[in-house]
Amino acid sequence: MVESLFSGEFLALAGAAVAALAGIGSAIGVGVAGEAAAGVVSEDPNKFGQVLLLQALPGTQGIYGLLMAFLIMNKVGLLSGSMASLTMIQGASLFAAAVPIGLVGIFSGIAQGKAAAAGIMLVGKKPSEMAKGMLFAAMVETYAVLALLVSFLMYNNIQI
Amino acid sequence: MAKNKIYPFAVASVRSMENSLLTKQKLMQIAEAKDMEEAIRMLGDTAYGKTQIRDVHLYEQMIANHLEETYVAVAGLIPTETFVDIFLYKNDYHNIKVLLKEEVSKVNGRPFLVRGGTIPVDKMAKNLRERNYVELPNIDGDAVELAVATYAKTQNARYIDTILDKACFATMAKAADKLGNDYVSKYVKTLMDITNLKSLLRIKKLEREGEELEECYILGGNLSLDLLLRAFRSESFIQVLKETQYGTLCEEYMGQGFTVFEKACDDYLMSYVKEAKYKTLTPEPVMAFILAKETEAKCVRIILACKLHDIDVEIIKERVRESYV
Repeated sequence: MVESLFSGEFLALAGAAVAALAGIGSAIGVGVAGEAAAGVVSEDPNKFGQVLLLQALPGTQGIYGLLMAFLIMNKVGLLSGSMASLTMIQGASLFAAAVPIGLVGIFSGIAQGKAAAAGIMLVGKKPSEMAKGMLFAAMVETYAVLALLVSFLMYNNIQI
Repeated sequence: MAKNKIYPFAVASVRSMENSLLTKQKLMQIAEAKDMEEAIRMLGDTAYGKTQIRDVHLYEQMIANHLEETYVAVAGLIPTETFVDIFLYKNDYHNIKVLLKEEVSKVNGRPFLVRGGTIPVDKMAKNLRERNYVELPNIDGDAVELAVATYAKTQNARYIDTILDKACFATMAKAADKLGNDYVSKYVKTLMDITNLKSLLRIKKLEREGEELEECYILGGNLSLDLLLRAFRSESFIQVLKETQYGTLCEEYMGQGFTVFEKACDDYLMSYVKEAKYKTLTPEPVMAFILAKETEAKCVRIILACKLHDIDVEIIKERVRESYV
């Protein structure tokens, strides 16, 4: 039992799962931004288009996580139906590669959601300042992208 | 309430509603209107215009309707919490005062009742008459009894006011404690201190005794009764108060008469309320909006009352309070 937990295949799949966890951050972020967006639209339905754009911003972390999960699953051959046999080191390395985007995705998604909600309130008050509101929220994106980059570089250099 | 509970929907709605608040500039413009009719017409273009009034003397109705609309709108944003109630208790207690005075004086107090309390006016009137406090949640029945008994003993209606004011603040403080929000607690404390400072100045101006200050002192603020009494009895009371956190407020405005000081107090409170402008997800802006609306309504009332009595534009402008936006 314990041996199978530390098998290379299992660790690689656990890595794919961790990468996909970035979606938690996105879900919370988009949720918070969505509540704020509904608040603004309840007062002025015409602002729907503007606030929708801002609400979508925290959604990218989930996409990055999905991308990383797919890459890992592809590398180990899960998607093609014939899974390669991996050593524990290989599996653990793939797991490690997934951690940056998984963890950073969760927290940056939440943080970006808050920034996006504030941006949405800015649109509620001053619709002309929407671009600035988007910029503030997009700043958070940097760190999700950096984490994806680290994850990808690690993934790319793992030989199977 | 959990300390970090967030309310994105409510805050975003309130932020959008803030656009309808009258800026100080707009209030000044209304103050410059050439007469009452023009001022009412200018208000007609704002959120106050929803209530059409036939007679300019009914402006109070226009303000009351608008305030009530605001209370209902804001209360609807956060249905599960009772933040808004903290700001409504004063209306409840105002109504109790009016109803009790009506009872003892037999003068019709109906026109002085305000809507917008936590308890509807009719329900309040009926249950207060029957002394049925079970139906009046959040109302301190003992305080009402004490007020009535004290009046019966002294025949002085002042005690109805002081006893019920104290009860009102106690109810507010209790609700604020339950809510556990620092912003609200600090607001209530500041309001208590300001009320005490105003009492001090008023009693001083009227050249009454220190006992009166003791009677109307509101317990729970940052300024102790000892300090206020020491200030009251000292020759230069402003010097004593200078040491407190309200030093600047007292030093600059207390010597300039009660009207000026009252305005300065409102502005002081508004500067505190304005801190909520930089909060995004926590409930502070929702509460700040209620206070902003109340201050705005006060300004509109001042302007219209002055217009009705043909008071000079410059004097009106001096009395217009700082606005939230």
